[in-house]
Amino acid sequence: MSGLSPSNHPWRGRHVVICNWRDGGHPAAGGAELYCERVAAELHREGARVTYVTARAKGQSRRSTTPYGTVVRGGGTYTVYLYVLLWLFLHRRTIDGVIDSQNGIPFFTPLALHRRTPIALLIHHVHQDQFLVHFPGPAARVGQFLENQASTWVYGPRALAAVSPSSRAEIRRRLSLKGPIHLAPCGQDMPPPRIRRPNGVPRIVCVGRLVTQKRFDVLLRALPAGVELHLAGDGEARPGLESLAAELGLDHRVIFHGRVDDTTRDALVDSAWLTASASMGEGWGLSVMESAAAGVPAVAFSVPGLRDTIRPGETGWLVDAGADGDLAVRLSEVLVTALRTLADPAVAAEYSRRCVAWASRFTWSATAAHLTAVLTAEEQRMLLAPAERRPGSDSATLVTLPAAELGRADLTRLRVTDLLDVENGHAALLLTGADEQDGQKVLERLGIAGPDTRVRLARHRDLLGWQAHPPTRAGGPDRSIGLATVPAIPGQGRRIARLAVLPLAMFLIALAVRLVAIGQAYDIFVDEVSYVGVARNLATGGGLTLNGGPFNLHPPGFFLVLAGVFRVVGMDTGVDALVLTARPVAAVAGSIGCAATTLLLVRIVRMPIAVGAGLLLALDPFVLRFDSRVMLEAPAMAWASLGMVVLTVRPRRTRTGVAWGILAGLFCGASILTKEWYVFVTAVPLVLLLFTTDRVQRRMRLSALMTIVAAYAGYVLSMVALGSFSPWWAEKASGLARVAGAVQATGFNQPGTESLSSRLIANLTSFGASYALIAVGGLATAALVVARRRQPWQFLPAGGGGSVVLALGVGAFAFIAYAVGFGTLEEQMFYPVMVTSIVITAAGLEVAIRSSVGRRVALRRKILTGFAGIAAFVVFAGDAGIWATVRTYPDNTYQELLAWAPTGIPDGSTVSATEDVAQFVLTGVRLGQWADLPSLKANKVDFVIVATELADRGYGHARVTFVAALDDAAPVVFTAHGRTMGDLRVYDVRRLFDAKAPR
Amino acid sequence: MAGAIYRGRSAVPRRELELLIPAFNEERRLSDTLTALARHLLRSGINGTIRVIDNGSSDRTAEVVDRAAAAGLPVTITGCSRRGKGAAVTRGMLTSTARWVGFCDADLATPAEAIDDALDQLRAGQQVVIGSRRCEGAQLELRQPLVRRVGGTGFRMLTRRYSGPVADTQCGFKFFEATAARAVFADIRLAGFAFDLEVVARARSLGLSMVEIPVAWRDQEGSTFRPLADGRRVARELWRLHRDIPVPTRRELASAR
Repeated sequence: MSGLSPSNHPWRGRHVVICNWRDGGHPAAGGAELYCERVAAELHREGARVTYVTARAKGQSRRSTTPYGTVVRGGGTYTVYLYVLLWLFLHRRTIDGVIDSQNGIPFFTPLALHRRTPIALLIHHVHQDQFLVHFPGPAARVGQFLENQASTWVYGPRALAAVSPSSRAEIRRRLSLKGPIHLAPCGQDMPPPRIRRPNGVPRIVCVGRLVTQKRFDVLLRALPAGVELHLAGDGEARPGLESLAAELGLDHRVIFHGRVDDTTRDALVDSAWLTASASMGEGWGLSVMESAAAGVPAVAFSVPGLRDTIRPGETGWLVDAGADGDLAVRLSEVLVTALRTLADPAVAAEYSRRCVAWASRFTWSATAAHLTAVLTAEEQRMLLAPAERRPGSDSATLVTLPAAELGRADLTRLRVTDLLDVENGHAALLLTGADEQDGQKVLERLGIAGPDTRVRLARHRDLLGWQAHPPTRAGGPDRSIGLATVPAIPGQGRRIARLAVLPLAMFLIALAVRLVAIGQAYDIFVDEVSYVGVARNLATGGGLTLNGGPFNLHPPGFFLVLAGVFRVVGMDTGVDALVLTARPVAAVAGSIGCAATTLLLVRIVRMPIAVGAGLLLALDPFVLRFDSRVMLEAPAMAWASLGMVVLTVRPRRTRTGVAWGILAGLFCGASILTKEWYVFVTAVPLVLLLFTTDRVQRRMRLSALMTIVAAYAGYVLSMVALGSFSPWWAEKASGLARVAGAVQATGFNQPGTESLSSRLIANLTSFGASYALIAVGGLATAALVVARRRQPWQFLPAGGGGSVVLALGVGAFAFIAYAVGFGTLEEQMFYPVMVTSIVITAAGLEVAIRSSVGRRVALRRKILTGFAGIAAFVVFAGDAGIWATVRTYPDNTYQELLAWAPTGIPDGSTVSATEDVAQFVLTGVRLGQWADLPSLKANKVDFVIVATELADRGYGHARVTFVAALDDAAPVVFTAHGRTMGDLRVYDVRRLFDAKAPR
Repeated sequence: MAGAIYRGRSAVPRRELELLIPAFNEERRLSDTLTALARHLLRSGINGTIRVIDNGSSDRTAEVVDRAAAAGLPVTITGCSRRGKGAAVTRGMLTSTARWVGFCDADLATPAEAIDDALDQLRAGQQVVIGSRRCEGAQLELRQPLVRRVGGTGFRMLTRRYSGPVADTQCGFKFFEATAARAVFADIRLAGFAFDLEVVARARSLGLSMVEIPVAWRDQEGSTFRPLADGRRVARELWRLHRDIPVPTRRELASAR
């Protein structure tokens, strides 16, 4: 009968605290204690960690472990309130949810707990009048104030739970609490099935204490002729009732049994035709429910509590209590009707069957499910405050439909506080807080508004007897009601296809795209030369050095990888050959990045978008330019993407969360140890992601962050251990100053070099699509930030993958915005932004498609997908064209130069290498970087190497005027053309000075 | 304007009159009201029905309606989870198929006989009929307390620009011709205290023909006015009114005349 099977209960493994005035061991324990303990037992059975905080009576221990969890006791009748608050405050960090059981005065738990801890305030009944009975005037006023106004202030919009529709109405009428009130009726233990033997003479049996407010006097007066009344129970009203019975001449028909043992009581109940109550109001008709469990129908006045528990015409009869006239007369009339009806054994058996069926619907596990649903709803409300579609209303809507239709729907889209029931092919849904129009909309959203669906406003009698709530997304399908209530979990095969095959395919495609003509497609770049130099020194045991000095510009992450590769494949002597050896390593890193990004997207967007984004990344010319060279971008971003993928894992327990977090931290740390400013796509998003309400996820992300810090600290410590801390620090300090923009030594913001805009315009033909994607990504980030504020629930599935991507976007764009505005801006800084842009554009597209609501959903979706499809196709076509061009027409001027040099430049010549690379790759010559005619002359230079593209853009040492002067005076002995260097020329300047010398 | 959206649905008005009663936790008073109204409809020979709009009640308001319907009264019920009397009335107005639609309070502050006067005006071709406690011929059966009277005067002064010649916008007794009702209620934004005022303002700016009829009014116990809390609420509603509702321009008013 469980509402949710134990394996997938949403509160499994979480800490739920139940605050109640007393516990079952307390001498004054009563119904509320039973209620709380049974709920605790159910929660415990479902795998929640339960702590029951309560007052301590004399002789009770401070702490004990019970079958339903830990009981913590402290404080007396009144001081328990302070004790509970203090205990909650001290343990607030470990608490996931609180059931605050109010016995007149609530515990005011919101005062001690975290703002976002879900609380369900359970009110059994309103005590406003009880205060007046039990306390002197002023104290009663204080009690009333605490129960009413003070509770309203403290609890605000938090949710409440009541045991019956009547007591909910009472709460609304007497108290000003604002939160939604959900129903969590008491459970009913079913006795083992017995055979009933109704007495020959009509017999009414009442079990319960004989107290004045039960008004047995009315029942005695109403007793029809020829009917026996048996009263099992004792109490203050017994003497009065006995004398009344004698007075009415009923002493032979009214039998007072007093307190009886269970066997006698059961036998008595089994002999009953009927039970009756003349009470004028109860919170929950417990005695009626107990009789129903034994198969005995009931007659009672239609008063709060009782009219909820008796279903007239099914399990008993209700007597109108409101109209004028003698209550006893009316009760008597209905009793006669009831007994006449039950005189037919078939009818009586039918009533009995319905009574048992009705009572058995009230299980304690259903009660616990109702309360946890309230907690889950509160948790969601705190998370999604602006998302409220159905405003607070006590009304509800009942939907009935064929079970088959409900089986098709994704029930996770219902609210957790809604209720559902399936029986004999018929399904019923109770949409709480909804009117018929809302209900119709819900059905349309679920796609189950068929012709056999009936929607109507629920009456009080529709509100009870429910057992199951819609499943939560995290909880998985609910087996107990036999519905595929969650979209079918894809089979193992499909999961593997999504999570392994697709990224693997993407890896292979990206690798193939990168490896084609990798040696000739891009000219050797000066940074490549430095990086392989460092790696070679590492591999040969020379330490972290370059050209004889320490190299601390970048951390050693990628250099260590390269050194390992060099050790395995061996090293060529020439720097140029070494660069070409190292390039496939970067290509592999880039392809891993592609695959990881696809995997990240598969987690959060639909398949076609993920595939499209992956292909875009595989083919993007801007990304390709870095992935095909020995640059740090590809490996750094690959590590970061892997880290982000791990962050979308949704662990259920803190320990697994910490383990995943450490793994994510290791990936992110590797990224930072490859290139430091990748903190902006690793650590910065992680800091943003710490602001989650999910405790396990927070732990996971915090451990990831700690791991990153530890990894970097390890790097710093090893620098200290190697004794090279001070040069390292000097390098880092200047690096920081450059990133902050205090020093503009390199990049577009440096005065005197070409500006970003002129470079962008120059590159528009090759990287136009990439730039457009970055712009779109920036807009998508802004839009998603707004969307996350308005509709946070869209970001929650897949381990909060949406949030992970958004945090990544915010980190990347905040960094690039700062770099463009104030800091040092270099072209490679756009690399992480580029990758992030593709990811976030995909996520934005998904959100836009998913959140299309309103009248023209289909049209909007068509327009969106059509537009995205066309844009993607255009970009693909352009990218593929650029790729084909790049890979067919070589850009390898240095390789040509190196091939020519042994014959063209005599050994021992003096060469001025005005660009950056030649000085590292040329061998056997005297090298310098003289870039004006006088110094050429002074140093007796024989050859000058010039790259026109660099001279035009202001890089290297040669300026345009110098190139022009050389063109005028000296012959070009070698020229090679490429995209990177323009014309790489060698001028023979020997004759220039020889000729001039004589004049 | 927005009335056009509903043109298709207003083709076949079945009933002559539908009377809407917004109700929030009215199980105690509603039964008598329903009986009195139904009896009056029957006596006057009006082909009308009553619809209770349950505004998220927690008590047995719906059961009271069920009981009345079971007793043969022409009563139905519709839910409305949006809070506020205005939301409830709007829900009823936009889902009604009757030729004339009106609403009155669940406590029967206006006697049922006033329906006849309203219907006379509607039959004479008026599109909007507004029950008034202040126009000529009206009588307040129970004098209101001073605070309330002062508040009322202030409210009327502040809202003159919306109410125009209508002397009493706040009386919960208004009747509409079906198309006029849809035009007015299709765009209603406010649900609280200023809802009645918004109805009048929209009816004026749509240029509907409007008449005030005097009604008797019995102040019911239970309707209390707390100067501070309610004053703040009214101020907020007035601000929303000011923000959301265009003041009828002179030209619109001229064309309306």
